[in-house]
Amino acid sequence: MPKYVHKDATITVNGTALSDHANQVTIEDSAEEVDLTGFTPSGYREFGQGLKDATITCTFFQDYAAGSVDSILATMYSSGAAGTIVVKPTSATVSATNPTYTMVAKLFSYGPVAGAVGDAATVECSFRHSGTAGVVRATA
Amino acid sequence: MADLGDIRAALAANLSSIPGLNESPYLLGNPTPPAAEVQPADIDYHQAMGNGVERWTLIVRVFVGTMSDKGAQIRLDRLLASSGSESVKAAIESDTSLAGAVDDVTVTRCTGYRIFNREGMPSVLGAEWTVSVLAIG
Repeated sequence: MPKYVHKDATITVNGTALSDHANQVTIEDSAEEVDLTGFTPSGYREFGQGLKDATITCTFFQDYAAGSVDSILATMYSSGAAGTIVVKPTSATVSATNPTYTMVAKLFSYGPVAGAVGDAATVECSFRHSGTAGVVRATA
Repeated sequence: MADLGDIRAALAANLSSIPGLNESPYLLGNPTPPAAEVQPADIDYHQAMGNGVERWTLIVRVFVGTMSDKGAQIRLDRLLASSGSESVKAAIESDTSLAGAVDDVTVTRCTGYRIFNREGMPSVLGAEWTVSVLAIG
């Protein structure tokens, strides 16, 4: 896939596609930097990867209809249960150039009503990693 | 997907509750005051992934009469109000789904008094309202 404009990502939360309500998505996967520097004549520090952390952040247009944004996210937050988040760069078939990123996550906060007067009502969600596999990249 | 014809028709239908106003979903070649017309303006596509949301802006333009007509000004004052039976804003927002054509409708601003020049005819007094529509793409 060549360079592209980000406008057709797919986002599913526990199997429900919420892409058409989402206007922003970010996957962040990071590892702590552990300093492993010993005495060395090189003069450089040496770092290793420590514990990893992952978060998928989405902004959705709020919708209180059954089976839509609020019902899914509110249930996920209030139950404290882990859910599966799947993000794909475009709606095209999964492939080497259109991989899926899957993560088991929990919601630790949920703001069902937000926005200034005159703004479209949106809700920003941070899905925090709560599984064991991290963000799993798949191409098929 | 939002249909512009449905949106314009529904806006005109909402305006029909204003007594004595001749509303048209389309631009009028030779408006006879008091009259209202609907003009599509900016369209912002791709407001959500997969073009799930679009934001459409439309202008509702109302003509009330000649500038020298005191009655036209009195009428326009009532049309400019944010509420009441002759309020353009209230009429447009009386059905924010536009008969199910869109997700939401907001009247965001009004120009206040405007003079519209007509070729070969006296200028007419009126105003323009900006309508923001949130529609499914």
